[in-house]
Amino acid sequence: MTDRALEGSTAIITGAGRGLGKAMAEGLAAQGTKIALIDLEEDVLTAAVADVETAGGQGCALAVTADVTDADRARAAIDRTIDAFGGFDILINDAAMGPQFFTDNFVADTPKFWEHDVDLWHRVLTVNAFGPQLMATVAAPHLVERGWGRIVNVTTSLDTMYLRGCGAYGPSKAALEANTRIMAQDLEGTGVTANVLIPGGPANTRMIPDATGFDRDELVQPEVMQAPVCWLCSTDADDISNMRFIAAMWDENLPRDERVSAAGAPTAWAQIGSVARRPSAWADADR
Amino acid sequence: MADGKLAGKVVMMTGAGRGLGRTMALALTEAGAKLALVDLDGEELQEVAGEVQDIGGGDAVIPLGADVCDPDSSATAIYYAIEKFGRLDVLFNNAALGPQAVAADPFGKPPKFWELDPFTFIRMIDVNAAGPQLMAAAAVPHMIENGWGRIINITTALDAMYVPGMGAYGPSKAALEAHTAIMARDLDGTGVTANALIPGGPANTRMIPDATGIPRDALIQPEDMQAPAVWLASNDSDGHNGERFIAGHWNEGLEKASAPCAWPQLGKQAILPKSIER
Repeated sequence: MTDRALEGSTAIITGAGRGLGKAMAEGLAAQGTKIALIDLEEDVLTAAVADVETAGGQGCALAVTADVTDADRARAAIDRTIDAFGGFDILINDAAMGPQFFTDNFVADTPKFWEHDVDLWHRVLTVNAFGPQLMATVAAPHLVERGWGRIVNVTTSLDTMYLRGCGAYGPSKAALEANTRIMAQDLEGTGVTANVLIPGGPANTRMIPDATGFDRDELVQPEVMQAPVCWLCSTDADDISNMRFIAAMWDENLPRDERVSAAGAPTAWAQIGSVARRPSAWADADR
Repeated sequence: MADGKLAGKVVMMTGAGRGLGRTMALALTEAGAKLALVDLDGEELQEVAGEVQDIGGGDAVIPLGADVCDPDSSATAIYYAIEKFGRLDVLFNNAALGPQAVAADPFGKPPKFWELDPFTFIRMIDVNAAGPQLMAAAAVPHMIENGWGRIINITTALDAMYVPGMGAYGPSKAALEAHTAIMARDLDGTGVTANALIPGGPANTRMIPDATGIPRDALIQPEDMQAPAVWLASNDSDGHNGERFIAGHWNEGLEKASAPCAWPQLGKQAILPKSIER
């Protein structure tokens, strides 16, 4: 076990009870990372911890039941991780409420924006856009003080951000995408990086209900997240920040730089370039 | 005034108490529209209502003190506007919490993301992204019934959406931009359209505090919003749906001043099962 690539590191993963979060937890644990799994439901977490320990060994996983939008609970969850593991290096913001809360079938049955439940729309926006900010706010000072760290935000494909029928799902992910670019700029020079990792298309998780009628084998499988997340959390990615990676396009067989350019791009929609007309005093600011 | 381009139209402007909202409201009144003005701040709201009245007459305006991100308050505002004027044709979602809510000099001394007060951050998301959804959701069933209507969301420049030091301002506007594209698709074929309108750079409003040291006349002036706002609220913009309009380029022609909502220029992204057509 001593030659595992990420031995000695510790990660906090939100939404780790199932889906992409759990797959990433298993992938990282197999490489030696200790994991604090955060989720809302205790029984889901208990089962996930058992699976993660199967991948990484007895005692490598800690279950923390918490709501990522509750400031006190978020702080307590991070404190508990520090108590248990002596600190942490990695925050993966994966917890999200998906399209399935708005429709069983976002292909054929797309509710209009004025038909959504008011509280549900707001809750999804809060969980997906505010939760990661809250977790990162509490985590960043610890990571910056240690001089090394990772923030990985799970958003979605750029064109899913304006997919109708999914309520606040797309808009909330657009907000998180933009915020990741802000996080990366704020963290420049600290040794802590911020990147986006997405599956690259609808994934085989509960976010895509069976009612969509998709062949589940045709969906992006959660396991594709494992190789790129392990790499992002390794020292080989020390110089990689402010990028978005598409897990389905991650090819371990390619040499490092080719692999990065095949699956990576700048965060957000930066390729569109500078469009704002700014006063000259501020126009040259580097984004 | 009755013969203006917007004669017979009823427009609701949120964040009407100052800045871009106030300036657009005055131009819309000038063009003959009746105005329902919404703002949190009662005193500012009354002042602008007075200005609108001076232009459009006594029954041209109704001031409505309301919080756009409170479900009851926003629905009530829409209800009163329709009650007073008998209809509602245009909704400008202009109310927003700007960078000034985060720091006195957000450009010179930008706070790091982890130094932000979480409650200010969520409040910005609520006002800037959830508020427009609440207002639009309450307004469109009425517009669809009339077979004509406008949702105009004030967002920001695409690259302002990820400027550090402004809290949730940029991210919340990214959410609203994406949501505008969704609104437009949902409204397709109803006679109601949804578009984004932006100044096109930092504007001369309270959102850019004096502490930034930026000369006020180097900023985009709120008055630049007037011509595109009137055009968007009029029948002249029929058929334009899911676009973003840039006030700072308005005089250079529609092609230069417009783009599709959000970032579809970046093309198809998601890897989809064969059964999905987007």
